[in-house]
Amino acid sequence: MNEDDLARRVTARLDQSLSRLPNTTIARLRDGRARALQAHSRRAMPADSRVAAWINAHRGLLGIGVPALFLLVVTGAVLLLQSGQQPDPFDVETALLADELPIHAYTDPGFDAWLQHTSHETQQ
Amino acid sequence: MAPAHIARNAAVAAALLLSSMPSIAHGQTAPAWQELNGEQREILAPLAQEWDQIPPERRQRWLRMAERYPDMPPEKQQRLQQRMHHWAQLSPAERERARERYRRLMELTPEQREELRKRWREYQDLPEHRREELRQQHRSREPLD
Repeated sequence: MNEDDLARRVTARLDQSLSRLPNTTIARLRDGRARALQAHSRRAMPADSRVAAWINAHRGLLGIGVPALFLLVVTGAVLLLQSGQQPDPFDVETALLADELPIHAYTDPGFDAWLQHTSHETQQ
Repeated sequence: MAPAHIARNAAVAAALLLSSMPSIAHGQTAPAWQELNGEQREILAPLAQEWDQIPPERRQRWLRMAERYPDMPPEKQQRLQQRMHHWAQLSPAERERARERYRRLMELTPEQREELRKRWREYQDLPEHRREELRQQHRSREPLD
């Protein structure tokens, strides 16, 4: 008997016993196969699909976390821009009220005209 | 659908935040005159009559000013108190104009500021009709909105 004959006999013998397997064993085997296939497909999933699956699984968390992060960034940016633009209007106001020149000097349009008038005279 | 949902939430949150920024910065409420403590009332005494009619945002500013008041030199404290009432009577546009001019003048050198004070004294010495002429002259040059 060569090797091929032996293999055929073993296979036939196994197939015989396979056809007599109890239903519970067949069901367990089917479940095992399904689980193995699922595990394989997860490992073989491309990176972008895995990211999509992760996003899908954490949708609730992302729904709160992303807007919260966005809010933090926007708040930080707005505060940074506000602080860097010009002196605090409150500081300007306090300094103005306590300044040597009276408030009229900053509100009287005639003084503006006088400054222009006298600077022209100085230049001539 | 998930990214669209998240983006919508973010947009709503940003709109809420931006709309509330002025109230965060200035505070939404301010105490009535009766709610001020003794020191605040003493410092803000020139505003006693009008305090409760001042908008909350402006009242918050006055309170911040009162906080700094004790650290100021006596002559500045005196000027500040003398001018409070006048300042509170100005319209928002007049206050903004004054703040804007002051910001520009803050950039002057000490010598230029001294020159400015000299010009102010000269302006004060002009007869009233001459000052009025200058005001008219300035208004006629201002661009029309």
